[in-house]
Amino acid sequence: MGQILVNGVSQGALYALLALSFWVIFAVTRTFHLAHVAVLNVAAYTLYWVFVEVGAGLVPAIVAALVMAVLLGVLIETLVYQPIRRSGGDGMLLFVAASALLTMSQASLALIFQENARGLEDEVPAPLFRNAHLTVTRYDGAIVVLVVVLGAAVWWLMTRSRWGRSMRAVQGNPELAGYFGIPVGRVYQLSFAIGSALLVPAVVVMAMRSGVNPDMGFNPVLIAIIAVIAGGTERQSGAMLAGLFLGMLENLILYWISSEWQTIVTFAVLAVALIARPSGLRSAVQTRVG
Amino acid sequence: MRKVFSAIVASTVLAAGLTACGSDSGSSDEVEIGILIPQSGDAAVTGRFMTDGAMAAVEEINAAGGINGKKIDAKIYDTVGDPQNGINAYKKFTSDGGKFAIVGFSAVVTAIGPLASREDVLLVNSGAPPFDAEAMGSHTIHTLNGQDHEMQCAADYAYDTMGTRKLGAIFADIAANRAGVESLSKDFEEKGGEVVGAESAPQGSSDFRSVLTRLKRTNPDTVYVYTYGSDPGNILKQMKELDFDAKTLMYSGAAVPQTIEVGGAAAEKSLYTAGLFDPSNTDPQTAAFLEAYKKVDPDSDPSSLGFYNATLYDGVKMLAKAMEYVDDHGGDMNDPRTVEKAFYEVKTFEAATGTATYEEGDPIARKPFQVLEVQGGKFLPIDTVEC
Repeated sequence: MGQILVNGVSQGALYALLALSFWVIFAVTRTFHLAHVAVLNVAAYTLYWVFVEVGAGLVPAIVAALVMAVLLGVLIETLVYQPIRRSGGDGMLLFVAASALLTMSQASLALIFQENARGLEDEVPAPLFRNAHLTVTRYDGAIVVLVVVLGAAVWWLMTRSRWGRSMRAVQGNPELAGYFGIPVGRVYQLSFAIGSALLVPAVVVMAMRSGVNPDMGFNPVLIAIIAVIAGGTERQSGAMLAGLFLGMLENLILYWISSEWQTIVTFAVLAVALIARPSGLRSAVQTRVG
Repeated sequence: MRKVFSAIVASTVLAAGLTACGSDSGSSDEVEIGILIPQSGDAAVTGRFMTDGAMAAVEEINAAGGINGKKIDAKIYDTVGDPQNGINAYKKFTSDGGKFAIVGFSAVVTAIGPLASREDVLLVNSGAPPFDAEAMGSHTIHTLNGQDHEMQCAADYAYDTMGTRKLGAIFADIAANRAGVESLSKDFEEKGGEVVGAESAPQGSSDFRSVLTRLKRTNPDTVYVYTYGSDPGNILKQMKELDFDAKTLMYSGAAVPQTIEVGGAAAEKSLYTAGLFDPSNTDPQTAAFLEAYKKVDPDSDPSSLGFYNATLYDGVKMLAKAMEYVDDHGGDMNDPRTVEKAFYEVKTFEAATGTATYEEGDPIARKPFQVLEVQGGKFLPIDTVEC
């Protein structure tokens, strides 16, 4: 039970971090940014390329992945989403554009690096803690610390900083915020930059643990998106707790039932939770699907 | 959803008429063979290995004068590795007048096999270990070992040679793999062993720790791994993370460089049942394959070529031999059913992936297996298994 709990917290923390990165973008811009998966994948391959192919060390690789993620996120917002919004395109058009970007990125990565998964670390690092029944790895420790620190940093940014107040103003009513002189376009770019940057710590843990492949971001980001919707799109804590809950649930279910039922039961429990408390879904429905 | 996107992209490509490439319709001095193998999508890397192998055989046969003087006109059709695109590629192949096709990938063979059997087309499956021959078409010839045969060999090797008495299994949650593990469990228990746990996970999962934690509690001597892609490497790595020190025996599809690339040092000493192919062998079939493959892909490193590079080469050569047999005996080598019968009449085929034999009425070849072990970051043959 102890090991399952550790696995669940570790997996849940990863989903919570990914949910936080998606929430920053979705809460402010109301854009259903499915191309977040593409940003994650490109950041992961940048990390791999600088760390393994160039051999430049982990810190330069993380910096390169961070730069690439922020640049790509902001470019997508500036060159793709903003022109669509300016021309009156609705949320569905933004969703189609995001889907096209995702498909293009996966095909491009497969073309450049081939479909094969690539590993980053040859040796399995020594655990933080181990006894006969329980192993806590460095990855488990790192992801939990990261989610706490970054969750607090985003909370401070959104509630205490000048930019955060601008983001919340745009989140409430972009037209009115623009009327009061808040640069809505810049605020959108900022939320894409922060949301994309928040992907990188998760990317580092995922890539170091399991390597990189062109499909690596899809399932985790999909679960993170579900967490944002289920947790209530207005609240950072709701999105992160829902991510943690889904990760824990996925793993705890295994303690009682066979692994083949894991996904079915996880999402059945989620569906029941949402039926019992539909406020999360209701706030999502009120937003633009774009 | 990702598969939906892939399907949209693939359908667009298909609609643009890019499914087939190669020369136009052949003449009476030619025999047409379709190569229905993925050229795009997730399966493209393996598909390209297979296609190169098939084309190596075609060029070798044509350079030697063809099949009793008839050159092979090979056309490539992109199945993308999924059923719908596979059916589209098959329809294009038959509308081009095709009657003989080399195929691989179980999802595609299962989708088009029954159509081909109804439409007087001979499929030669050289890329998908058959787990249900009837579902893959009653007139499909398989040039690979069947899944049940591999499972039987794996059970024998685990019990007799590795000394395993308690076996655990982890498998990709798809029908073929589930059926395979059921077959393995039955064979292993018939020998007197105990299957202490069998856990599944979606193929492509990156986190297997909870499934492995469950399996670790059952304390197996050996874990049999029946999945592919990046999964085997991740499973090996995460077993090490969890200090789960059971021995590992893996399915042949895991014996690919990706497993070592992802698994790193954790892949050392892992074992694999695999089709019998070793590029360092000096037998005439392996030497001919290496020479032919070099002509198709001059940059290839012969020592890195594996089973799936060679298996479609063998498939084309076995089909050519069956056609030659028909022609030598006064039959019509363009008649699919006559050529199908010839596989049973020829019975034994020498091939780069081991001697294949057919018993009357059983369309699945029986070939020996070898056992590979990862040593120093390479797959090395350590044993052969006859079962």
